[in-house]
Amino acid sequence: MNPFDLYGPQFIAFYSVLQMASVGVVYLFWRSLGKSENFRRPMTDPYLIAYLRGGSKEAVKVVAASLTHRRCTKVRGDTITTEAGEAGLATNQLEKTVLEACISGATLRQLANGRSADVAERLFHQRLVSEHLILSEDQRQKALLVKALVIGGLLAVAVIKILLAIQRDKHNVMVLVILAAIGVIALAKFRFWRTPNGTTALKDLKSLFGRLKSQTSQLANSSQNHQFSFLLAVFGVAALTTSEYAFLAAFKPKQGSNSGCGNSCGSSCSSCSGGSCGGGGCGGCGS
Amino acid sequence: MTQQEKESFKDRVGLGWRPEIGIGILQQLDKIDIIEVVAENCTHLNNAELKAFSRLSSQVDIVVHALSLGLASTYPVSTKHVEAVARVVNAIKPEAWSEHLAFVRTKDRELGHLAAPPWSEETVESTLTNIQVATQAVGSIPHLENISTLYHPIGSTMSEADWTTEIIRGAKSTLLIDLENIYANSRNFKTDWFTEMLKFPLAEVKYVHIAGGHEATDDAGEYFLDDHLHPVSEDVFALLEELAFRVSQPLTVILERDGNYPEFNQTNAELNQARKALAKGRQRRR
Repeated sequence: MNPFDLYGPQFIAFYSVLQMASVGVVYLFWRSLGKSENFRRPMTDPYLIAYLRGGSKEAVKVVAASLTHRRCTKVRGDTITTEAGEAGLATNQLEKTVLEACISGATLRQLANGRSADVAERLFHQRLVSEHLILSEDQRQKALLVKALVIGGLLAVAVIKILLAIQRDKHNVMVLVILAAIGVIALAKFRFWRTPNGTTALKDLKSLFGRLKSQTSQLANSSQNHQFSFLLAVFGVAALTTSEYAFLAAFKPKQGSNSGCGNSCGSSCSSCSGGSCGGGGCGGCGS
Repeated sequence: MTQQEKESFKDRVGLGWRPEIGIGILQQLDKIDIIEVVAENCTHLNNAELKAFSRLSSQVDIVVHALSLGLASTYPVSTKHVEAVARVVNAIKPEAWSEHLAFVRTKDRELGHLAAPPWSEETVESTLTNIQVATQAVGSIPHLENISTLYHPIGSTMSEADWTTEIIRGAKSTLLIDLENIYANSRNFKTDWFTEMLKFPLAEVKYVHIAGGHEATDDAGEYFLDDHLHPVSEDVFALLEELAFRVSQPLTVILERDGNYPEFNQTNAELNQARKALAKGRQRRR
């Protein structure tokens, strides 16, 4: 049976199944990357966890929020500032870099695109790759190649069918065009960031510490800073409300802006839409 | 290594999993032998989420502790609660699970706390029936824990220790002995806690709970409240040492804390003190 001989609804049904199978292939390929039966101890370093969840931008965001919670920085509007002497209060190199950047005042976007992000990248990326929690560049390239081939195949089938339809003087191809676009967009949003192990590690932290989300008001005291940072790292900024932590308004995606996802998850996060990004909680696809 | 040294070597010390101190627990996992997970704190998690605990068990031993079954009751155990606990236990796959010898609901009302039933033959029978139901649902026999009580149950025809012994033997189970509960009951009923502990079937003890409470006052006067909000008292550590001296089987000691959490180094200090108490008791056996 030649699928290109199928008529309208039958071909649409065939193409829908093909699309689902394509998504399945990409997902299974990702599942095959870096999978290990050896389970390691759950992480407790908030900045490392934030990096695992959403990359250097999320790590920098959690650092900046943590420093503000500790009153090492102040937030006015969108700008985060600090006094020159505060850099001495940093507990690690990433905090020191963020504090230095805040001396002259910086927005979260500036921090996330500046030297702080480079430091986060240097501190965490290779470590998480070596622990098989995020994909290596090689694995990522392979996954992107598979994704490109699958998208190419899906597009080719649609284009061939559309050309055949036009040749046969049929012009009702809009449903197929829309379906093809949806499939391509869905596949294109696979980001390929975490390994399956990395996604499991993050999900485990969410399960183990889920009950803490109902106790966020108890973390206002700066002595609870580690727990505050940990909660932000695991669940994202959305886990804490601005009524309890007013300064977090500067760390949340602006309502009505289109950048809610792009800011915190990179440009191709698969599971975020609109304002429901959950502070960079790009789960699902290992993204 | 002598037999006694081997016994001592197998003693374990751990604590209850609470997310509030979870970071400390994970950071100190090398020094913690076992974690006790409260079943009712996990019933909202789906099976995939519960696997977080079973994966954790590759790093540390895990037991599940239930609160809601109300096994020691003349009312049949609630199917809904048993199934919820069974799902948690079967998803986490702990080395064992436990429940209290208490009732927690009447026919139509949840009490919200662990209450002591009359210590009588009638409640022994009904408790054994409930344990059988729970065992069938979960797939393994629960370890059974003595509770603290501020009243002497009306209608009792035997002592708590005799009642507990009959149930433990009838159910072919083991005793999860709560030393803090024995201590609290002894304080409130003006008895000697060492003597009271020795009345329990100590040869059937595998797990031990320790915790802290405080002296409270109400219209009836002073009493000791086992609230799990305070450090473990020296008296309870002394009971633990005595228990380690009295029994030959390995003991697994679990520190319970339910709020007012101190810095984790203080919790760690209490765990170390439990280890020392065990070691001293074992030393006395040699």
